[in-house]
Amino acid sequence: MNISEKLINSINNLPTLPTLYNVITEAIEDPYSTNTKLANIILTDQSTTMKVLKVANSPLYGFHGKIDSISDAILYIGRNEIKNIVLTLSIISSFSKRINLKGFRPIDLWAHSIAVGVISRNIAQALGEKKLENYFLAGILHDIGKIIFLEYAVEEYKKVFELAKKKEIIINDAEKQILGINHEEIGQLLAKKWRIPETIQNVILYHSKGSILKTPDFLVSIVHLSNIIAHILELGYSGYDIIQQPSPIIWDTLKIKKGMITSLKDKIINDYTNTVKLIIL
Amino acid sequence: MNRNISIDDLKCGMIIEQPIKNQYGNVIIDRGTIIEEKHFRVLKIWGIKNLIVKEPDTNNSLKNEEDVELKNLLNKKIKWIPTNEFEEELISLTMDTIKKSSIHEY
Repeated sequence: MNISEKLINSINNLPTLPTLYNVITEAIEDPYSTNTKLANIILTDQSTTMKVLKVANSPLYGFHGKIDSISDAILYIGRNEIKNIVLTLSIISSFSKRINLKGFRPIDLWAHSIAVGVISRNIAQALGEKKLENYFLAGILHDIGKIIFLEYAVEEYKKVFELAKKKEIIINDAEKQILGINHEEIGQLLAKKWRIPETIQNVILYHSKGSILKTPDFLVSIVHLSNIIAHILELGYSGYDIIQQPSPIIWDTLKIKKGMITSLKDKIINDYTNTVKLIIL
Repeated sequence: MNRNISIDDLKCGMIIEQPIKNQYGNVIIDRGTIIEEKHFRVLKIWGIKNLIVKEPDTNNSLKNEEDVELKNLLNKKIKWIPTNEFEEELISLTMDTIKKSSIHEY
């Protein structure tokens, strides 16, 4: 069995998502289930309840400490967003955080992912997007494939970084050469196994390209740009220092105004600092 | 504070405070000019011995060296040329981050 088969196999052995998330998803999909019923499901898990309340009150959502119950959180933030917060918390806690790859730790990668989530949500909001629930989650999950490599092929992954640095090639190409599969492909396989919505699967698979096989996609473009901005602002660490040039397609897709990113900078850094503290520290 | 210095003490990066004129009264180097290597030749040709520069001169020449250092750090991170105003904005944001972290290091 070669390394890429071994890695794909490892996905089948990965734990399924916690039952809590599946029960919540079912409850949300059931049009007759009330917010009270949903709140009661979350309340069965004490640590999730606490964390959901903290995240709901973080500056990211703008309620500034006014939410003091899960049912309020559902009311103000919305069912789907709450479901996504539970999913985020479940995924982060389902991976161990012990591995240290010469200064590249999963915790730094999670910090990078949180940054991309925070930036994506902020940009989408600034662009007038109404349905904001998927942006944070998409950012959090975009590099999930790298987490799998760190967990299941840490020695080989070390070689990936050495090769990328030595030959000055992008991580995706180095991954292909050494592991036979890149982090976008393996991440999408995991997301599929976890039945994460296809819109998010597309982000995982195409975030480095900025579009779905040249077809414009707003969410994919935002995460593509946010990933670059997280590197620019040095929020978290994803394994390399070089800042990539954005794919030209995103400017037409997003129609960003000049100076918008600069004006969001302070809020982004503030939201990031708060959210990282809440979720991983 | 301005300082009257001899041409021998002039260094790159110093800023000219009073316009430098030749013997015919024509301005050869204007006020606010940052001294570069090429200016030494001009000053020599016109036989300028003294000039007035802006204080603090040592900081100015130091700043110039820092700028080169920062530019090198930027070039290590960004290996592409901006094609529109948004990419220029991204580059200037990168420079801000580099400046911020270099302050912490000094």
